[in-house]
Amino acid sequence: MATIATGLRHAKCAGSIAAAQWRTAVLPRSTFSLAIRSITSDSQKTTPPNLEVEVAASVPIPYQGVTHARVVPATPSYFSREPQFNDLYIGISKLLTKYNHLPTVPPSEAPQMPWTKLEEMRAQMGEPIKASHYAKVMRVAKRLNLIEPSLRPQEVKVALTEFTRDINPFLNMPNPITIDKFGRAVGVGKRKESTARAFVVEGTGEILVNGKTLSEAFGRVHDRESAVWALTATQRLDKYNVWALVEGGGTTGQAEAITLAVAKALVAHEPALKTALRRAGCITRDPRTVERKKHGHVKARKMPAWVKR
Amino acid sequence: MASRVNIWGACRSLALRPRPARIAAQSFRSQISSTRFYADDATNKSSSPPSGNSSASGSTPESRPGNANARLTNELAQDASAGTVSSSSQARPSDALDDAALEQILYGGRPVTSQREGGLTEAQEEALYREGVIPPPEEAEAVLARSEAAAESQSIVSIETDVQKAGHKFGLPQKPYPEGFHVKKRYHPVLEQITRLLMRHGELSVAQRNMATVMNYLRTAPAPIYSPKFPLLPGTPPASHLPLNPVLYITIAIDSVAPLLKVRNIAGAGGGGRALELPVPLAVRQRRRMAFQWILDVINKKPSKGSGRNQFAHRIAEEIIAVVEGRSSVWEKRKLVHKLGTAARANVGSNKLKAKKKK
Amino acid sequence: MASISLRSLVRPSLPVAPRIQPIIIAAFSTTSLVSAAAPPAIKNRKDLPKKTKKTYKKKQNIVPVKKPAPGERKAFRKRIQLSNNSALPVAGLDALEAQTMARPESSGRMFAVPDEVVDQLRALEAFKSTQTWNLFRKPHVLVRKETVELMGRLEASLEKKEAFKCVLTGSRLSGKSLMLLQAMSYALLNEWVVIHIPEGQDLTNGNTEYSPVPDTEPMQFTQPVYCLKLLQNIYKANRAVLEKTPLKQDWSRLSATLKPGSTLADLALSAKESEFAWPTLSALWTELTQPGQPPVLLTLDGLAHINKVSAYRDPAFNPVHAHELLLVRTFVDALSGKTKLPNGGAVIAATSQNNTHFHPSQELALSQLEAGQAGKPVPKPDPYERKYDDRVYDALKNSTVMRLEGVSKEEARVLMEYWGASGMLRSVLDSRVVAEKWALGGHGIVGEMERASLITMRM
Repeated sequence: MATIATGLRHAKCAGSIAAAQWRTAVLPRSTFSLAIRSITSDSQKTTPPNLEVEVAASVPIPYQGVTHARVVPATPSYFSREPQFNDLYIGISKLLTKYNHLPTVPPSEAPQMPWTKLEEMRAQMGEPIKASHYAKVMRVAKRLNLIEPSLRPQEVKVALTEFTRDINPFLNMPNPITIDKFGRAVGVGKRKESTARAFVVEGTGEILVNGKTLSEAFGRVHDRESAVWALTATQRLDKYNVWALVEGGGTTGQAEAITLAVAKALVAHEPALKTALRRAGCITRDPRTVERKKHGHVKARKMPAWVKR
Repeated sequence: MASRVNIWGACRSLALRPRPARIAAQSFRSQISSTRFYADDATNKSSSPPSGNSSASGSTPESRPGNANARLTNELAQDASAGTVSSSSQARPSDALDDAALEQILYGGRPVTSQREGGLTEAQEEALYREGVIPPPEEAEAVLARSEAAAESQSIVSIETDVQKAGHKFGLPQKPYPEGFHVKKRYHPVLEQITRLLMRHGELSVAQRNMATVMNYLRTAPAPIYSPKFPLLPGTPPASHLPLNPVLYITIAIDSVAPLLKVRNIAGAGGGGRALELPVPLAVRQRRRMAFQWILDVINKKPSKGSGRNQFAHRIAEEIIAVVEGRSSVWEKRKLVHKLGTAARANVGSNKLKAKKKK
Repeated sequence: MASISLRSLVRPSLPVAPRIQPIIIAAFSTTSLVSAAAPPAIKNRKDLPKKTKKTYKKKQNIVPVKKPAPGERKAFRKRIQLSNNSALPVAGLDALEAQTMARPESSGRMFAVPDEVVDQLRALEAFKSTQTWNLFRKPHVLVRKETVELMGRLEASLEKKEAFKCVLTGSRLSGKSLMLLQAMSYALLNEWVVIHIPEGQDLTNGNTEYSPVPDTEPMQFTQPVYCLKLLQNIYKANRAVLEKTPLKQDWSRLSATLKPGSTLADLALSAKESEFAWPTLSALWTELTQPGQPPVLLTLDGLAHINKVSAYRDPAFNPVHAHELLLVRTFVDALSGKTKLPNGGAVIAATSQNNTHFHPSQELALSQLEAGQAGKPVPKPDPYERKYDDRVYDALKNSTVMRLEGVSKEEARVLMEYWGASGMLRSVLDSRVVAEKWALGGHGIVGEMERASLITMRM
């Protein structure tokens, strides 16, 4: 809105007003917009009654009531590096001072918001926003988000939408793993290039990987231990049977993919184990993979040997 | 504090800590454990010396009568303690430590085995793996109990909530979780460090196999014969206890030859373009790393005796036994480093160092 | 010109007037030219001066070390250590007796191997360096369900007066060689004569000497050196039994020392040189297959190697089938039932999974036998496979197949309790730990359980 007002002012060119810019930006809007419409055909009907007044008034007394010799920008941010962003900041900090007294919730209970990332904000506004400035603003926005949701004023809600993305990724939840009629829970795990599916069912501790026993599937004892770590750590190796299907990658990757798959399926059986399994390192997907090869390099980092010429 | 590297305080605290285990006399132990510095204020001991210092050493009921060596070291410890008490009021604790006491600290000279029949308690082993020294059993128990209490206070809340909603079928695992609970930290920390040092060309599984072979070699080898010339870590259990506990065996060997310090060369601080040699204390992991690197150097120069893929592991195991028996050349290296450190201790509070820092 | 050359050839008979010798400046040597040693004569390529590569690396001062003697390294690698003085002695376990392993109630228990049997087994080379005997104070064995079954069959063979022919098979590290060892100790305790071929591979990979037997078609071969060693091993292991048993036939043509009243031990000892080893061994075998002699246990480890075409060649440079080697043929004849054992006894062959090659006809024969025993449909031969060997089928067709897999959890528990009592397992031992190791060991494969709990960094 502020931009429109400025645009109008520029069109009028002589709109120098003595009042503070904040007010001018809002107050004279209607009149000026009328004036703009006067260019169109329908406004011509309205002009005649005004015309006499105007004519009477426009008996020229030059520069009467003009305090500024030049155009005054609509916002004080006009000369800043990031005017729109600065406006946002000013607006949001005013809101914070206004609603500072409202009760807050701890950060863990505040509603999750898909905050706009720095890159996105730069693209939206077309302004070279500094990362430090962005961080400052986001700090204020996150503080506003802590206000108890039931008591949150509409004004705040509207203001916060400026800082959020249109899509909420937090609504995009994975389907919960269910236990089917045979008592099986299927977990999927990945590591490096490997993918594993583990069918976990209550039983007596028999483990089969791709139809083979653990010792046939993995030559290294370390890998066998890794594969059933979720069961070993929670002392349930004699309580469940596992049928795992795993493909891709090498032995370490396959074994640790099975770890993750078994852990997920086990959590479906017994949700209370999740904390223990997280402490055992079985819940988190290990995101490390092979680093890509770059051009000009022999491998990911290796450079060709230096040759004099 | 950071501006002045105060090695002697640290060194003494490292070496003095286990001293009581050797003497095994309750009264003397309490007296010695009071000689502490700011470096180990975590143990909350009062720093004032107990009364009756002189009577304690000679008349302890459990001190062995025939052991002149023990007597001597007692006196030395007394010297050291007296020195430190006076030094706490003075500016430089390094001044107060006479050469004989330092000799004791750096090169030992005490009977190695603990007098306890049953070897180490679990708490003592735990402390050894964590800190690289063997504390007396009571102290170790206290530390262990404290850490357990802390862990339990953390877990109380979660247990209560668990009772309310049972999301499990066979009971939850006991808290605090045992050692090696995490899938990536399943091995003993000392072994883990050594295995990574053994590893060549990123072949971890080979290194682990070698480590397992080393441990099995130690288990099948006869018990070592301790050498009185090269004393091990104070409080070491009798030799017959080691083969069945290879982790302890390896830890004792490595921690015993580990240097307490290294000499850092500060470029240009010596004056006339020379480097200033400054002794710096090492942390436990650093010490173990250095000791094992020395052992590896020796191993790499040795020829293998047989053939097959276990030769490397066998050489490591043989060297570890040699270290414990005092036959290894690694002891010489340790002595050399300590000698250098002793010679360079005049530089600890050097003015030139301060001037350099200011600039 | 001609006169000068002629004169130079003529030996100067007249004293020549002294002349001024030219002074040779070039020679700095003070010794005369004659006394300088002549350069070594170059006779072949090896004597040519070698081009040495110039290295700029600093020479490390390598201390000259005494190199081990030939064979010493291998002996070190292959040595068998049967006791560990650091391990705790396990009290309360009975020693094996003659009938212990055949009794059903001893199933699932550990037993100590008696010392004299240990010596005999060592002489037979029944222990392997890959087995973990070196961790424990004394050799102990677990009597499994399958052990009791096998020993029952051995016992029954005595009554039936007929050989029990058996092939042990099963997955890797499942205890096939150990089962052979148990069978041998059973036989030794019951005063059988035990003949054991520790590695089938040694017979066929061409590493031992061989010589043709004259007047045979196709040509057959003996392996004199191996036979001599085998004969000595047999004597060492079975000395007590052999010394008690008199000869039934007259073997004086082999050796002058063999009188009519001498014993089998004399026969075994009569071969002092390798030329006489095979005739003596075959004589011993003939004696043992006579009625009235003690029962025999003939065992072999690594079956696949004696069913293939061997690495030997005949004089026409054709490859020799392993069954043409007389020692192998003796075993195969016994296994196929061609040679009867009238005193009872057993012929047991064990397959190996570590040291083996894929042998289609052996696989087929064993699977067919197994299916036939279980009453399942017998698998058909693969029509596209060309490498089937009828001789292998004939060799195996009369034998029983015994498959060894993992032990049950109860047996695993007994085994692990023994490990714990020896001080080799440091952790608490409860049913959860047993179940863990049982699963890690591929459902109770004994060797894999050992790997997972004894030969590991987590102990």
